[in-house]
Amino acid sequence: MRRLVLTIARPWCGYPHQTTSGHRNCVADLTVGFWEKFMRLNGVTIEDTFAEAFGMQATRIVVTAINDRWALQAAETMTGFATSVIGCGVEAGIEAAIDPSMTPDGRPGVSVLLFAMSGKDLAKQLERRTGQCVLTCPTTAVFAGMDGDELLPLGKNLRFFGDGYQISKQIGGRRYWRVPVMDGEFLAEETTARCAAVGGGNILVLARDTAQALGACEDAVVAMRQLPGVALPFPGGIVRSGSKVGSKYRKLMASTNDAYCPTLRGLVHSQLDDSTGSVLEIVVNGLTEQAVAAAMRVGIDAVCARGADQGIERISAGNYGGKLGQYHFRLHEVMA
Amino acid sequence: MSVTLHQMHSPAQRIDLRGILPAALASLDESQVRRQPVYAGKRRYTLGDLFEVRLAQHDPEILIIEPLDGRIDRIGAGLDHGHIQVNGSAGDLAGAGMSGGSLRISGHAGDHAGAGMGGGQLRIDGNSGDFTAAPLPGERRGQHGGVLWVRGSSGQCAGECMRRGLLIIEGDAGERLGYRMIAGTIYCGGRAGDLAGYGMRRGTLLLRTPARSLSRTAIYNGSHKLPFLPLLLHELHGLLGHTGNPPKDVESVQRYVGDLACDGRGEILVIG
Repeated sequence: MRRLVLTIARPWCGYPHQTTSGHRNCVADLTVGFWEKFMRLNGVTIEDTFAEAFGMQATRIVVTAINDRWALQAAETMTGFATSVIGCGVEAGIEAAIDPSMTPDGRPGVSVLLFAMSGKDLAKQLERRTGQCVLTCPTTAVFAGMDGDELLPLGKNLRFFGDGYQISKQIGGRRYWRVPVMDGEFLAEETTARCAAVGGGNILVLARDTAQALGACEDAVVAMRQLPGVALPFPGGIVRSGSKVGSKYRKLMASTNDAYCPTLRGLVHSQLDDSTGSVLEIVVNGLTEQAVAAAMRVGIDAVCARGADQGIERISAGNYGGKLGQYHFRLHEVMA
Repeated sequence: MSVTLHQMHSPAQRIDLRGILPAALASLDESQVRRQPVYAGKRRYTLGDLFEVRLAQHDPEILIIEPLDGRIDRIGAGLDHGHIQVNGSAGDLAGAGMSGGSLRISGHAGDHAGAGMGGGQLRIDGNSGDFTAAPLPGERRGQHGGVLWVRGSSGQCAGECMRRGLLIIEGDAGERLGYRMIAGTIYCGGRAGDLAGYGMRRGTLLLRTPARSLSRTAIYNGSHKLPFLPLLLHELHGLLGHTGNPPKDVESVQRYVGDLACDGRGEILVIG
């Protein structure tokens, strides 16, 4: 058996020191063998597996409003029911709050990321959600959040809501539409750009019980949401219903990930130890492969900071055998 | 390569400098530049007859013109790229029909400055005459792109039939500012003359102070906080610098809509 020792800078890490490079309180073991390959952080095993992610199309928009509350309200409404492309057509999440000094109109803003499997789907969902969730929300305005050559309509078609009273305004080389509404005017930039992106990065957190898994995932979500260019589309950033491809029912494309369901242990080919009582997943979509990897890394860091003492047993990841997704995020490489 | 044209003689007729552009002169040597034809009235001259020509090889594409008086017309007319600097005053039709590049006039400009311009930047440090940014004679639309910035005042009918772009007049504007305006944006930092926005169909007149008078068919629309205004003010501040004109924070504006005798979808916004 070949044994490697990796040293990773983790000031919080309390794992017994086996360092070869002088770091005092941070260490991880990577043991590579025929039957046993694992890494441990703070007593939490990180499986030698990978998250399988897919190429997607993404865009960023900036929603502003009279104050933080209404900007966030519009963004939350827009990103509601946007957890999975399978059922929602789009995956969306809030990227960050934006200081008024950084927004186009000098008001508080929120940046929103939307991901879809094609540019056409993305355009459809962007327009529908902007029209139903942002246009309708008091005091809001919407702006492009990225530049690029491939453009999506933002206010371009929504302007027709103005029934002929809409006003085009070109400012600084960009076209905006002013649509009269009952609280004044809704301002929308004509287009935003889209780019190739990565969707479906994930980590699975295996813990002794649900409260422990949830607490660790909440820490991870807070840490991951600090990073730019990523969105966690599920409720609160956390998924409890991880899925596998296919089902015994022919009409279903996906069904419960039985290998990670604690109540199916013994009935199916389970991936859970006897002590594992709960598994939660964090799915992360990003504008780049690096952004997804960075988010996974800080997420795993945050989970492992709780350590085995607080019931966290293992970190794993969801994949489909590597045959479906073009991006493979190996957990050991992400943490290296 | 930069070319400097220092005017030495002033013929009886006005000089027409059409076609004398940085790109046209860039590939010529000094003798060829001197032989470029120019007209004064119907009489044909060469540049060398009227100007002292100086070339500097290492500079970017710049044409510097040093007029004796403001009787050189069509400076920068049709400019599409490169930079023209006029050290003095320009005659009529400066920057007419320009589509790119930049033209800066340190003195005044005559009538029809920026007439029908579709792009680029035209800056006049002094005053401009009548019909600034208006259509070229026989044309149906005036400025339809770019930025025309008059640091002083302008004559009557500035922005006539303007279709797109930004016209800034830091000083006062004459009668009928934005006359028959089709679209675009005009900012007047001084006081606009009578009948501002007369016959305008669409577009925005942003006035620092109320105009002397408006058309009877421009009607008061109320006091509004318009979400696009911070963007426009931000752009104006980017161009004008922190001169306090226009003010940085505008709570609300008085809005007039019109001209109802035409399409009626234009707006006149008064800050103060």
